[in-house]
Amino acid sequence: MIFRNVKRAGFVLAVLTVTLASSFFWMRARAPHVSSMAGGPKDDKSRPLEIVPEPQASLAAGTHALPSPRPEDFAKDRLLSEILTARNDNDPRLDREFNALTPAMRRLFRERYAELASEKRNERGTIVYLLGRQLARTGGDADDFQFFDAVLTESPCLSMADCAHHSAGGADSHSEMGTEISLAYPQLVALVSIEHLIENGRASASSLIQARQALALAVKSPVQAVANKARAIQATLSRASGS
Amino acid sequence: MKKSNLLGVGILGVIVGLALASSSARADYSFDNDVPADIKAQMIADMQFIGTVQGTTASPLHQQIFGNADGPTYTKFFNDRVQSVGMSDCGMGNAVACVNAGFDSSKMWLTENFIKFSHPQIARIMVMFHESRHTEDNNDNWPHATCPSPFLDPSGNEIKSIWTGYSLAGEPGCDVTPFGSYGSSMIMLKNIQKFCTNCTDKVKMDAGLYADDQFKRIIDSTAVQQITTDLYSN
Repeated sequence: MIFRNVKRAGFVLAVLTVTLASSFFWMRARAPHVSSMAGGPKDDKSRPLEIVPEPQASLAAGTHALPSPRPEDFAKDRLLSEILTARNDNDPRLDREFNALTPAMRRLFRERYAELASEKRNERGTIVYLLGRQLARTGGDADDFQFFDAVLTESPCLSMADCAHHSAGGADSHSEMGTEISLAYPQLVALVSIEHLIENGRASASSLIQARQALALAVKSPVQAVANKARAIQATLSRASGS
Repeated sequence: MKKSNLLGVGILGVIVGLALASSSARADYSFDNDVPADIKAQMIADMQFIGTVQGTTASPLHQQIFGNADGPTYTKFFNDRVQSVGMSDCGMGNAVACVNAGFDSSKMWLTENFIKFSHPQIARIMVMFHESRHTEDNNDNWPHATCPSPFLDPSGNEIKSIWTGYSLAGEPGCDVTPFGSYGSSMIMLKNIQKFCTNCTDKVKMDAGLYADDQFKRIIDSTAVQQITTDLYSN
């Protein structure tokens, strides 16, 4: 009798273990999601995005004559907010969920960009990335280029702690590692998008003209990393056109 | 073998399998009690991400330094070098992390800037792997080289911060080898940009931006040529 009970208990334990193992491996197969868990939805409450009302007409440009956002547009906006809050740049939804941004969605994203504190360099850059990917694929419209021009001509962000002021802590060759890129991140992402637009060869003549105008603005940037990147793209463009 | 024995072996196998499967993302390092929960969570999340990376291949220099371009390799590399994580200001207002080899070469210090500053995720990872290279006592902790003065970019412009005017010229912020902290971390990032199959396009773009920037810190022509051949020639 005892042996039979032990056997039964063993069987139940085995079923439980196999069920647990199956769940575990299923979760591991969704690895990129696993990586987002530590900073995922739980963090939405503990570390909300810092939204600073900062109306910037040029950044939120293009609100004229656009259809009102539909529920699905707001849903994408909420999803974007969730991803930005999680601080997981490898969230696969970045590649999957934002591939066909409607004009209303793009307007919402531009507004979101303008609302974010300037110090939110990665969050701002991520929005530019999503809008820029669409720009590179479709050629964009006047509102898109107006937004990109505004991003490229923003005042330089002076320090990661406070874009309006120089760092109080001084500089050090080691601690400055990568900082220049992070400070100029939204602008560099905008330039990468323009580079992709030019490279893909599908841009219309009008898009190319606007892309060249954006590059001309960026070349004048007081930020060395931005000006250098713009010059490099211009050089590529000149070589391609044989001029 | 009796049925009950078979069952026991099966359960044991499942348990061992589970343990092995989870080992690739396991953190061998400990956190000091004063590391805030949100900083600890962010570092764990970043290391979990890097632990999932899958690369189609790896460049020869990457093979030499790390091995394959994949998560378990990166996790092992980091865990082999960093045994504990603590909090410090690292002596400067802008630092994100540091290693003080003279005090404890297997300890990495994070600053509040780790989550306070909005760097892309791959930039935080770059800094952590850069610092992990400084733990290597057997390589004299890979000391940096002094940047040349003047320190010019390929266009002939002086490399300095436009905001602070801070110049790297004459500062110990360069490397003369692909194998030091700047070289190894930029090689890691460039491999992620080129070969990662499960990274988002954003991560790959970021990896390229930061890798290309760090490449400027390699000042020895032979080292530059080695890295160019390894990662920039096609």
